[in-house]
Amino acid sequence: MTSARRVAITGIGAITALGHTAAALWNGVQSGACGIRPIANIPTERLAVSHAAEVIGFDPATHFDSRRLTTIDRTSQLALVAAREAMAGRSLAELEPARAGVILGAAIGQETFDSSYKSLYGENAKRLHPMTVPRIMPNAPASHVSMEFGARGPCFATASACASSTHAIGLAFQMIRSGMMDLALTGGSDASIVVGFMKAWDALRVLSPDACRPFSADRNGLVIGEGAAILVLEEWHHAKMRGADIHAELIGFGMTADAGELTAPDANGAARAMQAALSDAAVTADEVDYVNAHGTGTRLNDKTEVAALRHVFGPHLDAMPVSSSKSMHGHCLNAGGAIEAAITALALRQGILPPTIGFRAPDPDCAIDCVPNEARHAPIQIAMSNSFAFGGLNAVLLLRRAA
Amino acid sequence: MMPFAHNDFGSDPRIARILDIFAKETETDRALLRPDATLDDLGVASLDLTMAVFEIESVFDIEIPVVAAQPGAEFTTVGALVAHVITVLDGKKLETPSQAGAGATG
Repeated sequence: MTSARRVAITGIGAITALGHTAAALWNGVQSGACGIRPIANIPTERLAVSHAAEVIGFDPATHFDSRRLTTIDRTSQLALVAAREAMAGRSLAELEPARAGVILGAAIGQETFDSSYKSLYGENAKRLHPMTVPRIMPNAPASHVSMEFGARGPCFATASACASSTHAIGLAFQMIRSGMMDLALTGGSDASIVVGFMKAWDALRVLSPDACRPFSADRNGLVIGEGAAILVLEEWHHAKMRGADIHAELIGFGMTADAGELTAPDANGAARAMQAALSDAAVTADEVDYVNAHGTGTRLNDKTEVAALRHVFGPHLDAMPVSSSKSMHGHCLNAGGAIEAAITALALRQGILPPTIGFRAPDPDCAIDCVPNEARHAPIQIAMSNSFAFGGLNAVLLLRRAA
Repeated sequence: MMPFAHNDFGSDPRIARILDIFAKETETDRALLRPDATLDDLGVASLDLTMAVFEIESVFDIEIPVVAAQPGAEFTTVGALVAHVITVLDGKKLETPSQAGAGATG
């Protein structure tokens, strides 16, 4: 085991409801901006909800030529835009191509899926576009990113619903640490705000009609978001040697399964994943300064997550802030973990805690400092980012301020 | 067997239209589209050929059936593709003049 290998985050790109860059995301987060707005990109007559955290003002034609656009769904478009920002014009030429990989959360091309079957079943279309399959395939974002940058090492997509991109980042981290590769573009993208999929979410009865208020006594559900975040992970020594600007260090990853309920969260599974991440990083619970929670804003998730946090952190939880940035960028499903890991890295770098906006009243079941409504300065050194998915799949990342 | 005499497509306007679509979708020089030009020599990728066939189907509102024995590789020359499309078009004219569904995809 080459335990000396460490992993640096040397690039961050993001496109979310808070803007089209990682800087816009961070500006939104530190000012407590809300990306949840009335839905603008799709018709809403048939939906029970009217709000979502959409990427607005995104014109694919300014990023891709028309020929390429016929081959890429919005899901891959968002991934590519975030990846370009994360790479910041850098080429992988200095690396052995097989030493660079791409691991992204698996994400279906929902826009293509929805519009194709609408035309087939609803409009009796005679044929579907030949690019329908390659646009829909859940590995498409990972494949397009690998093609764009010539990364020829390990490349695949991870599927664990709302933890997908956290699993992706965790695996990329492990593979760099273990010596399998030296650099990875990792994270995820999601563009699921289409009529069919939103209707399916309606049916689960977990969507809030108006706002995402994690940990607040009057919270009433989650709000779907869309977007992408891509991190460039790099072996620490390699990053230092080339004088890279290091945002933060990834130091631990834990993953568990509840093997219990299909959609209800489980405090034991969540707690075991957090403990696994701590143990992976050889860090004690008391050393953690901040947790970016899964914090979806449903009654059950937030209460269960706080119970899990209490189990892992004990009395330290009373002194440790825990916030949910989903209150600002929505629940971005396959991309959520990546967007939140990006925010956690920037929080460490800037020494600013992301707020939980929309907070109105404390809930005895969520007795934590959730950094209500306003960002706060805090010189944090170690932070955790949680993702807990449908299907009982939990993934937790641990990050440290670059030093 | 060469489907076009003298390696020339003649003056059928439908053929000109087919070749226009083919050139655009495969990003091939229109002047190189002679009946005996092979898709290999022209460097036409299989995905581009698929796109060209899709566009031809959409524009003429026809279905170009896959040749079961060699799907994806049924047309080795431009002439073979054009001849196949013309055969389908002629068959369609005899069968039904219906325009239903034209332009439904896109």
